[in-house]
Amino acid sequence: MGLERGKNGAGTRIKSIYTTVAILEAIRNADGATLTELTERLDIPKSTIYHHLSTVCDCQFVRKEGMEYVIGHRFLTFAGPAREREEIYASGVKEVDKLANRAEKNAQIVVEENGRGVYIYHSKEDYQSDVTPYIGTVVDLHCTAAGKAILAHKPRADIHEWIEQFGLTRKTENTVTSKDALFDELETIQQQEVAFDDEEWIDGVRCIAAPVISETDEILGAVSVSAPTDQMNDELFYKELPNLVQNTTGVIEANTSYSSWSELSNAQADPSR
Amino acid sequence: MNYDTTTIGLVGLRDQGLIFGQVLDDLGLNLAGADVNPDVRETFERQFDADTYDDPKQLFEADIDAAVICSPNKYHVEPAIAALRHGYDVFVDKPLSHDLAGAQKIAAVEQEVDQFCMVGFHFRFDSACRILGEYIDDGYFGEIYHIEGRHIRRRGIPGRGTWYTSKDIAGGGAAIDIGVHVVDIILSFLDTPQIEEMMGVTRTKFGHREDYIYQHMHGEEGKPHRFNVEDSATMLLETDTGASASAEVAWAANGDPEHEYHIYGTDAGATLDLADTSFSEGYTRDETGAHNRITIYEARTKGEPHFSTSELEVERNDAFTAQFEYFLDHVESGEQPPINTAAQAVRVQNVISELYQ
Repeated sequence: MGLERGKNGAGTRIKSIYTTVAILEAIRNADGATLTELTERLDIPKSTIYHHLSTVCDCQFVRKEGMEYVIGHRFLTFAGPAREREEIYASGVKEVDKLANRAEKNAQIVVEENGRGVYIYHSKEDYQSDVTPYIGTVVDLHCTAAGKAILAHKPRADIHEWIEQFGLTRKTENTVTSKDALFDELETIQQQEVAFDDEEWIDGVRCIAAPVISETDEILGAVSVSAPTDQMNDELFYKELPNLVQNTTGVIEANTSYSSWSELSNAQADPSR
Repeated sequence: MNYDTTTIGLVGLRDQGLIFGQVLDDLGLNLAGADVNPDVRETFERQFDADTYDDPKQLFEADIDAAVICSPNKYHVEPAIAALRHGYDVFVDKPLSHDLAGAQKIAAVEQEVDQFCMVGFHFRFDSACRILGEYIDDGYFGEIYHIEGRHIRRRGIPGRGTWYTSKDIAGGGAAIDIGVHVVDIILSFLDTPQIEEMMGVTRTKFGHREDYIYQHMHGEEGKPHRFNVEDSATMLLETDTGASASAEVAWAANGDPEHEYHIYGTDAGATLDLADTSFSEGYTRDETGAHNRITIYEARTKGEPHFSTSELEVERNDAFTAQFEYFLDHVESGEQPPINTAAQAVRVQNVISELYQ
């Protein structure tokens, strides 16, 4: 069995699983690929790739369509429970749909996982599909509104550490790549509890987000609204939408805080009372 | 009832919970409480040497004698019903619920159980309000054909940016927060008629503004963008007895703070002044700022026609304390109180619900 040290010297790892993951990522990035294409993309022998593919096909994580290997639906079976575990998902889905409806723009729920933002929900109505981050999209925290809303809630030391680990990659002309500038912005975000992405992640897209914070001051994630710049004038961007988004996060926070109370009236009283 | 062996369980321990808690504590009662927030629980624990729980279920299973619900409006229904089903008489802070359906649910469950639900329309216990009520019951004013109720705060938006100003959680703004008192008093003075027509207007003119100028925030301040309710409202009501009423409420207005009722009758009229200027700007229960006045207007002939304007001198009381004493008397006797009932609260909720449509 191929064992190796994990990242940063952490415990023992199974090398071949990294290989499987690399193959799966390659299939996903290519949106389907043939064995030949995968061999060209990856620095792995063809026969090895083939054996991995056969195994994951047996497990239904990948299936073959003609000559192409594509990501299988089995991942959905796992993804469903994964996101349902998030309190923000259970308490937030309906509210985010209402938000999208009121704003007439796409709205999303983002949570942090391992220092990156993951889109775990996208409002039902699709207002502008070409700028939609699809569910499961992973983003950098420093250049998205939801990411900044999440980052702003961390203690300063943790933010420094985050920057050390992930860096401030430039995605567009507007991306914040200066540590000082980012800290200034995060301070404002922490006070206002609203964050803005003004074409800092994708050219031509503006986004507003607010954090969802629990009663114990834990950040559960963020809710964001996004649209192409030509549908997001300053009045909407800086005034109207922050109001809508924050009203929504307020309701989600309350739903989360009081979630255990929704079954109170069904509880059986102690008959000995 | 022996207050020092009686324990009241409060659900919702923030601002209103602390205020009610203080009144009950001053009466010599023991307290226990439930709230979702650990800091809020801790404050309550320290202030009243009370046990607290994060779930009302645990509170109701503890050794309490009655329940008081003062959580955010949307979260009245579940604990109120649970308290009733656990065999407790329950006092619910006004409004009974954030919406009509919630209020009706509570009233329905109350009908099924032996226990009763009382709602916090505390002005009914104000001595001036009670005295005027007696005059009205005696028919002193003749036919009362119109009542004008006004509850205006100069800058009194409670908890701006918290659940108070969230439509979803509070159910509304000024109308459901203070308008319910005005509607309740009007309905009581008119002897609970049916409302035939209602016309109303709601407005948001102050709360959503970044430059909302105030001296003290009434309650804690929350998120700056979290405000989607009305901060003033006007209502006009027509009843099945032919009497009409108007209600004017504002959390914020550029005008003098007021809390007054003008009663217009064929034989006499009155002004009831319940204003508490300390409330208009900050949240203190300062007795010196509170008015407690009844003026009666009549026209008489003795020799010659003349007008009579009488100022009644009424002894002040603490309506909050009076209402809890009343609640506890009925908890002890097991009798349903005839006023501030769930059914009465549903009638009020109905009017507010119409306004919001």
